[in-house]
Amino acid sequence: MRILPPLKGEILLRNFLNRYFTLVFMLPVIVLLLTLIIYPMFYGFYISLFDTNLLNKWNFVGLKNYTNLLSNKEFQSSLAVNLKYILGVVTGHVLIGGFLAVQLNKAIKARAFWRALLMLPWLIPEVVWALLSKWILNPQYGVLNYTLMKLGILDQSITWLGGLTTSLPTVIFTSILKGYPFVMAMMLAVLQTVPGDIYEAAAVDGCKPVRAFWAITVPTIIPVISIALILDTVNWFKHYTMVSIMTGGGPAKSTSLVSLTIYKTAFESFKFGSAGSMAVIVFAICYFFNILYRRLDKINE
Amino acid sequence: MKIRKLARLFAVAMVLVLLSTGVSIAQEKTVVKIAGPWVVEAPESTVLDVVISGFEAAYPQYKVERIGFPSAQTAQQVQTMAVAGTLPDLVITNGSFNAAWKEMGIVSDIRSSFTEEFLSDIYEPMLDAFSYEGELFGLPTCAAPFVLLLRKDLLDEAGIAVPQSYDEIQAAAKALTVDLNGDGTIDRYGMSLMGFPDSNAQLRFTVGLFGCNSPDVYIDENGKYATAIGTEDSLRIFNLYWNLAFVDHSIPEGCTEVDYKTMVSLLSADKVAMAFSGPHTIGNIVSQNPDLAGKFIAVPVKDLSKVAYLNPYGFVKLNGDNDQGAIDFLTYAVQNFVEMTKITKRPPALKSLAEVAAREAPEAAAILDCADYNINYLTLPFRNEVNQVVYEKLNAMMAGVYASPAEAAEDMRVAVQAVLDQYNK
Repeated sequence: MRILPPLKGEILLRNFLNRYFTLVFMLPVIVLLLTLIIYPMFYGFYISLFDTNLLNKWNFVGLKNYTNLLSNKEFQSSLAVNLKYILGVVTGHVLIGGFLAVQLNKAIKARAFWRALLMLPWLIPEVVWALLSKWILNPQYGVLNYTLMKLGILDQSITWLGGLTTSLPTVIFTSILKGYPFVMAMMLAVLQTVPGDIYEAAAVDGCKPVRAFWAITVPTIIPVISIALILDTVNWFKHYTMVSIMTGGGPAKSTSLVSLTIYKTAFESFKFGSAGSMAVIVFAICYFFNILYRRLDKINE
Repeated sequence: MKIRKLARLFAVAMVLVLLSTGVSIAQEKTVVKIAGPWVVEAPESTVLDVVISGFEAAYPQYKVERIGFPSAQTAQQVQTMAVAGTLPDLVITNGSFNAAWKEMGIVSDIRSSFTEEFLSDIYEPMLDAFSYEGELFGLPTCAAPFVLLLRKDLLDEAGIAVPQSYDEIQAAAKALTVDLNGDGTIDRYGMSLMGFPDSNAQLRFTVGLFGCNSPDVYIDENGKYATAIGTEDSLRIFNLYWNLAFVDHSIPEGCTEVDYKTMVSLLSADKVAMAFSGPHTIGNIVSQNPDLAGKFIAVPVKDLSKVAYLNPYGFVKLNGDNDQGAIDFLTYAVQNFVEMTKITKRPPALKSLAEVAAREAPEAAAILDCADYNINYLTLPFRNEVNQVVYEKLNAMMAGVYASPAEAAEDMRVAVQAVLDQYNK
C-alpha cells in the first residue's frame, strides 16, 4: 500500500495546533467568560458612574453613587441583614452537609437511596421550593402549624414568615434545607478518597470513632470546606428568588437582603446607576470573603 | 453536454427556490407581539385567547405572539426588553407606568391613530389613566376597580347592612368573625387585609386613604407635590387597619404574609367575609370555588367620601416593531372585550357596553358607575418610589413595629414627603 504524502494544508494545520494547542481549546471558554462575566462586570461598574435609566438618560456623576451609599441607611441595613443571613445559612450548610456526608460515607443500608433522596432539595427549582415553603408555613392553612397544633406543641398558629422575630430565622432555615446538598456532595466526594484502611488501622491501634473523626476525617475535609465556604458564601450572598417570594423583604425589612434592595432600586425606582454601585460593593464583599477563606486555607496548610 | 445538463439543473433549482420563496412570502404574516399577565393568568388568559383568535380571523395578515409574565413584574420586564431592544408591540397593564415610560422613550403618543368618535365611546377617566400630559399611550379594555368586596349572604344572615364608613366596616368585620363549630378557634374572619410588601397592598391602602379624603400625593397651591398622609382625616384608615388587626382581631393571623393570591385563597376557602378588592377577584374566587357563585358583591369604599380606584386595564402600545399591527389590535380588542366582563365581572371600557355589563355582572351592579367617583391617583414618573414607601411602612405597621396608628401615619408621611421633596427641587 502506498502512503500518500501529507497535503500542505494538513501540515499547516498540524503545525498550528502544535503551537497553539492550549489556546484553541481554551478559546470557547475565554469567549464565554468575556461575554457573560467580564463584560457585564465592567459594564456594571461603568453604569455605576452614571445617573441612568439605561435608555435615554446618561448623566455622568462620577463616584457620587458610591458616596451616597455611605448615607444610604436602607442599603446599610440590607447589608447587616445579609451578613446575619449568610452567617446562618453557610454555617447550617456546613454543619448539616458535613454531618450527612459523614453518615452517607458509612456502610449504611440503602446508601444509594439515601444519597439520591438527600440530594433532592438541590434539584428542586428555587421558585418551587419557596412557594412550597410558603404554603407549608402559612398560619391559616399551612401543614406545619396544623401538625404542631395537633401534636399539642402549639396552642395557636405562628406566623413564621410574618413575625418580626421569626421571619429571618425561618428564611435562613428554608435556605439551609434548600442548599445543604451542595456542601454535602462536595464533602462526600472528598471523604470517598480516604481509604478505609486508615480507619481500620486506627481502630486496630485503639482509636475510638470520635477520635478518628477528628484525627482523620476533619483534616481530610478541611481543604474542601474552604472551597465550599467560598462558593456557598458567594452563591447565597447574592441570593434573591426565595426571599423575594416568601417575604418580599418584610416584615418591616427584617429579611430585606441586599439583592432585594438592589432589585427594587433598579426596577422599581429606575435608579440603575445607584443599583450598579450597590452591586459593585456586593462584588467587593464577595471577593473579600474569597481572599479571607483562601488565607484561612493557607494557615491551615 | 455536461454544461447544458448543469445549466438545466440550475434553472430547475432556481425555479423551485423562487416558487418556495413566493409561497413563503404569500404565507408569511406580520407578527404582533403582546406581553403581560393575562397571557399566564386564569381566567383572563381564556378571554385573551378568544380575542386574539377573533382578531386573527378578522385580520388574516397578522399573527399574534404572546409573552407572559406576572403583573408585579410588568415594569421590570418591559424595561429589560427595552434595554435589550426586544420590546413587544403591546403590553397588558393599567397605565400607571406611562409617565416613567414616556421619560424613558418606551412609549409614544398614539392619539392621532384613532378618531375622536371612537375615543369618545371610552369612559373618560379610563382614557385619562392611559394618558400623560395630553398624550395617549394605549387603550383600556376594562376596569379592575379596587372597591369593597363582601359576602352579601353572610351580611344578610347576620342582619348587617352594607358598610357606609370605616367604623361600620370595622363593626361588620367584628360581627362576621365567628367560631362556627364551637371548638374555640375562629373559622371565618370578618375581613382580609393585604400586608405583604408589594404594590397590591399599597393600592388597596391608597384607596382607603382617598376614602378619608387623604390622597397619597396631590399638587398643592404652590404647584408642589404634597401628601395628605399624616393628617387627622388620614388616621381613619390607619385606625381601621390597626383596629382590625390588633384590637378586634377580625383578620386572620399573618397579615404581613397576605399577598393577592393568599387573599383570594382565603376568600375562596370561606375563611374571610370581606376584602378590599374588585369584581375581578369574584371571577378568581368562583373559578376556585364554584359554590361561592352569586354570594359576593362589590360596593364602593365609603367613609368621608365614596371612592373607587378604577384601575383601568388594557394595552399600552410600546415602541416595538409593528406599529400598524398594534393599532389594529387595539382597535379590535377594545370593541371585543365583552367576554372579560362576562367571565371576570370587570366593567367594560366602552360606554356602549354598559347594558351588557349590567346584565352579565350583577355582582358588580353597585360599582358600574365607579368612573364617576374614581380617585385622582396621580400618574407620576416616580410613582413606584412613593408606592414602595407606602407598602413598606404599611407592612411595618401590620408587623407591629409601631406603638400606635398615629406613629405609623407620621412615619409614612415623613418617608413619602422625603420622596416628593426630591422631585420638588
